Formats: sequence, C-alpha cells, structure tokens
Amino acid sequence: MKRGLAQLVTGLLMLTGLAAARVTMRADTKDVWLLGHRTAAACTFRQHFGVPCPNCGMSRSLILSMHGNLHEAMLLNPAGPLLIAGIIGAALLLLGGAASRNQTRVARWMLPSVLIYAVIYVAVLIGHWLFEIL
Amino acid sequence: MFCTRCGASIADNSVFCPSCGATVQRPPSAAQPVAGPPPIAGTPPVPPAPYGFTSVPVAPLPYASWGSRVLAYIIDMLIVLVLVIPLALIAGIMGMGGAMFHSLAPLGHVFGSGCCCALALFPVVQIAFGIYNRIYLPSIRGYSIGQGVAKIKLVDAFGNLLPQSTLWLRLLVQVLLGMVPVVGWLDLLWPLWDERRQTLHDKAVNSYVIDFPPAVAMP
Repeated sequence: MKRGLAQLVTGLLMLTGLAAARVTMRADTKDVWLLGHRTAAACTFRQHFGVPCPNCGMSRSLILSMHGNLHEAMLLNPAGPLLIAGIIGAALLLLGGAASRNQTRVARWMLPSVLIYAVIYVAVLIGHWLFEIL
Repeated sequence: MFCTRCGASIADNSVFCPSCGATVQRPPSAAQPVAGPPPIAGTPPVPPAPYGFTSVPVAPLPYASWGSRVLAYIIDMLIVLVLVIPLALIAGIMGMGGAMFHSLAPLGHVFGSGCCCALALFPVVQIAFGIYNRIYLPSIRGYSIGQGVAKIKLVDAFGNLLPQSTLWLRLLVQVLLGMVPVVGWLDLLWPLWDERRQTLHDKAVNSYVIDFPPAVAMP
C-alpha cells in the first residue's frame, strides 16, 4: 500500500467511525442507547471496589461530546471531549499528511504533538479520577 | 553525508542541517576519522564520511516491513497469554473452591486468598516478562523473542544495539501512547506510511527496526 494511501484510508476510517458512532448511539447523563436500545453495561471495577475507575463515564461522555453536549460530557469525564478532539485532530493531520509531499516535516511535527497530547490526556484522566475518589 | 536526526542529505562541511536545524555530530577528534557503522548483511557497506564526520546509513538500512513488526508483536503477546493462562486457571479453581467451601471458614479463606494471589500475579508476570523481553533481550542481542522469530532487529541509526536506558524510554513512550485510545493504534500503524517504517515510539528515541538474516544475528 502506498504511504499516502495508507494515511488517507486511516484518516477516513477514523472520521467515518466517529460519524457512524454519532448516528447509531446517543446518551444522556444516566444511560447509553445503541440503535434505540438501552445498553446495560456496568463498570466491573466499581462493582467490586465501590469506587469509580478512571474510565467511568467515558462512554456517555464520548457520545455526548459527539452530539455537541460538551458541558454534560465534561462533567461526566473531561477526557471524553479531549479524546474526540484528539481523534478529529489526528484524522485531519493524517489527511493533511496524505496530501503533503513533505512527509518528514509532517512526521516531525506530529511526534511532539502526539506526545504532548498523550501526557495531557493521561493527566486529565487520572486527575479527574483522583478528584472523584478522594 | 546525512543528518543524524532527520536523514536529509547535507554538505560535508555543514555545521547545521538545513532541513531540521540539528547540529551535525562530529567525532571527538577530527583528525581521526570515525569508522562507519558496522555493515549489515545484505546491504552495501557505507563508506566512511570525509573529514571525520559521522555518517548515518539511512538509505541502506533494510527497514523491517509492517507485517514483520506486527507478527513479532503478536508472538510476544501470545507468549504473555501462555504465561497468564495457568494463573487464570489457578485463580478460577481457587475462586470456585472458595465459593464451594464458603461455610468452612479456614478452607474457604485459603481458597479465596489463593484466588486473589493468582489474580495479583497477572500484572507482575506481565511486567516482569515485558522487562525481560522488551528491555533485557534487545539490549544484549537486539531483538525480543517475537522479533527473533520474525527475523527483525532493533538498532540505532548506526546499526548498533540500543542501550537499556534508551529501551526503557522507548517502552515508556509506547506505554504512554498506548494509554490513549486510538493513539496507541496510530502508533502501531505509523510504519505503514513512514519513510523509515518507524513507529512514533521509535521516532522518540531514534530507533529503527530492520530485517536481519539469522546467520548474522544468532549469538
């Protein structure tokens, strides 16, 4: 597979996946619906230990973010909107990289961006979790 | 000659790389030219750079294909699975025993404790094997068990083995990226479109995964 084509396909798949999730799923602050059916997934960590895990509220937060309810999403888990923004940003960068002739420049710019983003994401995720359990 | 950071072709008397701005690496003594990197089997030897500059064999390195890297990754994961399955069986048996002998206090406690111990060993086994397979083995021979099966090797820009400190940093970056959904997958997919077939955690420490013939690499 040509390098640009691989980037293009990956970027498009990421955006298509987001769009498909937005169309098929919806949520409120309590529940998640998939194709109109309420899902009943509960956090095993919370059931066993009585405290939320770092990813508690993430499904609802992600779906609410995709539907534009950022305030509610932030309250449930602030890593949700951050992850959606990261996926969209990465997909756009990949599409831009596919169109760019200077792959080295794209890669050089991408690496620090991804590292900084990963550090911020993990800090937000763990910070929110500590805030919830302490 | 080539830039040691980005691999761009630069003039022999350059002090900085015009492409990325990195300082051109020089040997300790300009009077004594540094020998070129060790030749890699199957590739033409890289001539020593003039004026004692250190050249980087960017072009001749036989970068491993994405498929070989994925194969090595899957094999390493399967080994972890094989190590963890007995623990899972022990935990399951102990858990069932704890439930069955719940009324008999001492026996029930023994089974319950055994189940918890087996479950607690899960991450310990994974971390211990990860350090052995991803840090120790590549530092002494250049490849993990899975990479050895896939006939690929982990080296620096000069074809040398990576020191343990670099391997630790590489693993840390990979774990950090893996903690973010999608980004971890992006990291693994990156060699598909990278000109040197590096992942992002390879780029972070300037490491390369190359093919190697078994006759050369087996110690």
